Amino acid sequence: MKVGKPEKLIVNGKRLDGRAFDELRPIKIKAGVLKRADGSCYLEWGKNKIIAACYGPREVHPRHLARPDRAILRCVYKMAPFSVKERKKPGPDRRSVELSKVITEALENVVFLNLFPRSAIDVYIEVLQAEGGTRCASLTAASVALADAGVPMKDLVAACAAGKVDGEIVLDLFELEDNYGEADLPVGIVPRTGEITLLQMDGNLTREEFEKALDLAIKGALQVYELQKAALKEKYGGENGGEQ
Amino acid sequence: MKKVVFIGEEIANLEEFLPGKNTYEDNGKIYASTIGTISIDMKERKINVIPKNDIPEIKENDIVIGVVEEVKEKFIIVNILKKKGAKRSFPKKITGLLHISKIKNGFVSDIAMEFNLGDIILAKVVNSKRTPVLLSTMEDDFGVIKAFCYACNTPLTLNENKLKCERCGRVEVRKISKNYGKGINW
Repeated sequence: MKVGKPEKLIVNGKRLDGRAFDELRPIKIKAGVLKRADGSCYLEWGKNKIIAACYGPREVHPRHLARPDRAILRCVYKMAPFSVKERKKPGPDRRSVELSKVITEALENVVFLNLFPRSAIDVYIEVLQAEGGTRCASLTAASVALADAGVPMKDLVAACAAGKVDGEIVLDLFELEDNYGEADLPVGIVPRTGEITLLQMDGNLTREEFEKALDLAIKGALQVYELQKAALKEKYGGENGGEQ
Repeated sequence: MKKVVFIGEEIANLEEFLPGKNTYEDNGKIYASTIGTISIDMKERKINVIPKNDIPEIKENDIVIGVVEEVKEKFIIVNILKKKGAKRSFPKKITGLLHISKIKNGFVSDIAMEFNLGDIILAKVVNSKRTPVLLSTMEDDFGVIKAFCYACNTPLTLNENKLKCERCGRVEVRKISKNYGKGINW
């Protein structure tokens, strides 16, 4: 059941949840929450609640998927039946297959897969509660889980979306803006080099609007990156070693 | 305590060191690729990162646990599951070979008197460069830590250096480890 379309998505220069145009929702990241996984991450992004677990590198099953020169990376995006207002039928669907694919491809470029031939790295992403922007939140959580698992990577991948709502370019769209806004532009970046590993667009933007939205999304992703690093620093300690 | 470096953190210049383990080079600079502490090898002038969450690799003198997969006339093949000190399993399937001459001090006339299919064994890695990895169970600590009855597949219990099946009364012999039936506490 979708919430009815609000008359306006921007009231008195503020968005419906009271944020400014370039403001992120509050984000909380915690690394290493699961004991049995090699690496894990719990992420709260506004009302989104996501848990990601990384296993591997480990043996590939089924065996024919193994590559002789590199590891394979498999990310699985899954939404819990209770994650949305109306029960989501469990099991893979068009949307989660697509998200699994784009998240895998966004992370493939930063993980040193060539170090582990004939093995697999599995990342399972479970969306416990969704409020728009789970694509970016999942990618953010998945890269923290990979880092927590000690998988060699070039850098973390940070993601954030921007979009167009009531003619304004805004950062980090939430559910209503996502459903009734004009455009959504999720962006995943490798912060150290500035490479873009995920870029999708839903809706229409002019060239100028697109450039403005991309810049805004990259700025947002850089803020997310700092939070990702802070979460890992909390677990592994900064200057003085920290806990194992 | 040593300083912890994070993924993508610049740790050295290419003029200073060669990139070692868990590091990578990009545009003349060396970056860490995992979270860990820096260790510098001045002899080879290499900079390495020792990861906080290590991915296990098999090395010589490692103590490993495995399951007997094949029993041949002159050797047995073992599926190595885990090594001592590692928190998780290996990145890929590792098989070990235990030659008849490396089973125990003394003459082995029949390998079937020492190991059987499905036995869980503790062994030491002698050579890790070859595939399969070469193993040894010469010391008293090594050998079978859990065996199953040939007739009824019940776990055998240790009784005065003999293994007895509680269910069918069958008695079997093995190269038994000191730790038989005690489990392992790694």
